[in-house]
Amino acid sequence: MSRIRVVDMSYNYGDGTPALNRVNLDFDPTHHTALVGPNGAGKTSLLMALAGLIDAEGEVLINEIHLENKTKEKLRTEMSFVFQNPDDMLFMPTVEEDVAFGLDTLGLTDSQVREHTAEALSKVSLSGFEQRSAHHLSYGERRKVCLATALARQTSITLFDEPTRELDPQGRRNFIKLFNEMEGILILATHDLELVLETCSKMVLLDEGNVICSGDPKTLLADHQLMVDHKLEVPHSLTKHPHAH
Amino acid sequence: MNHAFLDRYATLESPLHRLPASIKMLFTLSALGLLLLVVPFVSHTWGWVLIITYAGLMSLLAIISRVPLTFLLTRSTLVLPFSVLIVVVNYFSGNFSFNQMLITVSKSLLSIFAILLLISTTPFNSILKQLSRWGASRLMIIIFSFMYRYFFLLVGEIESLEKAVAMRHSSLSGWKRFKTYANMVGMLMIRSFDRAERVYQAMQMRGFTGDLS
Amino acid sequence: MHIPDGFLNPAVSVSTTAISAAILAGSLRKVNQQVEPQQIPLMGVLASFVFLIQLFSFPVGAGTSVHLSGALLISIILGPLSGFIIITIALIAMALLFQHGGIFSLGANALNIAGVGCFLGYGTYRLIPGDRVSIVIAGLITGLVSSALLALELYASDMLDLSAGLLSMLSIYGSAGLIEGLATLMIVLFIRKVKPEIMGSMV
Repeated sequence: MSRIRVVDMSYNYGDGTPALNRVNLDFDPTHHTALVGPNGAGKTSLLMALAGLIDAEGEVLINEIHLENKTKEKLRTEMSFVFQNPDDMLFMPTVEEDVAFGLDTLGLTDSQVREHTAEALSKVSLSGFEQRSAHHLSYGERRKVCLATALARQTSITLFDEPTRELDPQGRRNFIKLFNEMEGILILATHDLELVLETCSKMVLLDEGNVICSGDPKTLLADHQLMVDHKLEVPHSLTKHPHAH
Repeated sequence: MNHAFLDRYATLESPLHRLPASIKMLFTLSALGLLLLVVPFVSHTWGWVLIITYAGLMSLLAIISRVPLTFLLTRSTLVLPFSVLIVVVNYFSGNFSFNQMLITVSKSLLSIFAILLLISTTPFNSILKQLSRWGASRLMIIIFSFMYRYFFLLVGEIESLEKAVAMRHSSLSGWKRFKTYANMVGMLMIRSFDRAERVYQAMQMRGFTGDLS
Repeated sequence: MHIPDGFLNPAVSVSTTAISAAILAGSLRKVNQQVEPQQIPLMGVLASFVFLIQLFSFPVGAGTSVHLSGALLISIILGPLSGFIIITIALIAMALLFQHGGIFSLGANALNIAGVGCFLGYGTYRLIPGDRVSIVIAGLITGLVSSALLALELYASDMLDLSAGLLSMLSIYGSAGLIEGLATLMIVLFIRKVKPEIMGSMV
């Protein structure tokens, strides 16, 4: 079973303010994990550090292998990353080429690449969009293609940065369905607390680079004081008849 | 800024659109080459014969392609400021006869028309793929396709910057305005660097190590 | 100024294309050897940027505006070789997608705009001490030489009377070059202030 361990991780933003401060965390496939916290809490930095895209202090162990310059290319073959902005991820001329990009580096043959691509596009219900260009697609469709790029890789670890931001309600609903069908270690950073309740069985609350607490999302998100202290709010579905009196 | 054109008719359905990009590219090149090579070296009468035949052929192709003629014609006139300036100067300095003036303008209009017809019947990416098959540098093709991909996003960015400037300074003038626009272009360039960095991260996550083969 | 098809005779067309193709091949070879992976998407996005600023009307007061070529700017920020590649690509795209320039005049346009702007412009910028002054002078010289070349090419194609043509070209595009130099200076100063680490990052 795959596993990610983060040991004493620290990282500063370019201007010197701390983004992550001695973070220790464990991730495994039994829980889908949500990273929650106000702006600047360190959610994106943590995801980036897990992927080896920023050089943070401390250690990341993926299946007990140290993530470092020598190993990161190899370890990334086990990972997919769905970035915040679809336009950063979709740079190839056609949807098909975008989804297929880099699949060959996973050791897949040409026919396997085509298979994975077709399968991933059908999962996000974009079969038939193969020859379209990303810039002619709607925002929601571009989001789906991004998800397909991750699905096609069939990796054991998938990282999501704000996957539902700017999605319309139906797009968001589709995402939740697809996410819940996925397997492996899934980590998502989000401000969408209702999304956390619908998708994750574990939640990590970050603020100013510190892990404030982690545990069952329902319990943590219902804690009014905890939410207020960290510029969050109890999601509507957990408030009991707020206007009853 | 009017940017809605580019190759917007390239995805229409017509016999011309279905032709392989290679044929259309070779045809455009040879048609242009012939026009530019032959017309200057034959008599005016033969020059006109060639130009009229060429114009007929191009109109026929344009009709087959179903690309709106008004679009092709209005876009072709973009060449007029340059060509009219040149021929008028030459006419008044006695270098050109009236006939030569007309031939030169027609030639430049027809050349642009041919390029427009190619680009309106062939998606830009198909052109790039064909260039790549003909052995164009891999680096160039990649730069080309990134350029095409991110152009629209940058247009959006510069438009929102322009609006933001307009909202805050409705009547900038002179040096201040110049400086504001320079800063805007500088900001756009910095954003391009940031964009490229994020795109590179996404590429890295999918195994890209700089190998262009 | 982009020369459209139909104004250069075959000899001028072929010779300028040969020169530009040789410079392009050389630049590509050198850049290919030295390019770092993250610079590949960077060159692509910057080609987009150049393409856009060539279309963008830069206001210079009194209701007039100019179009920057971006050649001097991109060479100062990245380097002249990668600059030449990017500007040439933007010129090809201008000819194909926006009907500015032509196919058989591409070599001449690349030489006048990318060649002069990137190499002569960058060289002047490096050679003249005092970099604020040097950027403006580089812009002016680039504008003058570009327009002189343009006039020469048209003259050789029997499309321009050299004395009258040269003078008008030089005055129009010399001032455009001066404006490009000034704008480039302002942009470079802005970037130095906001994100200095991106200066001079390639060859």
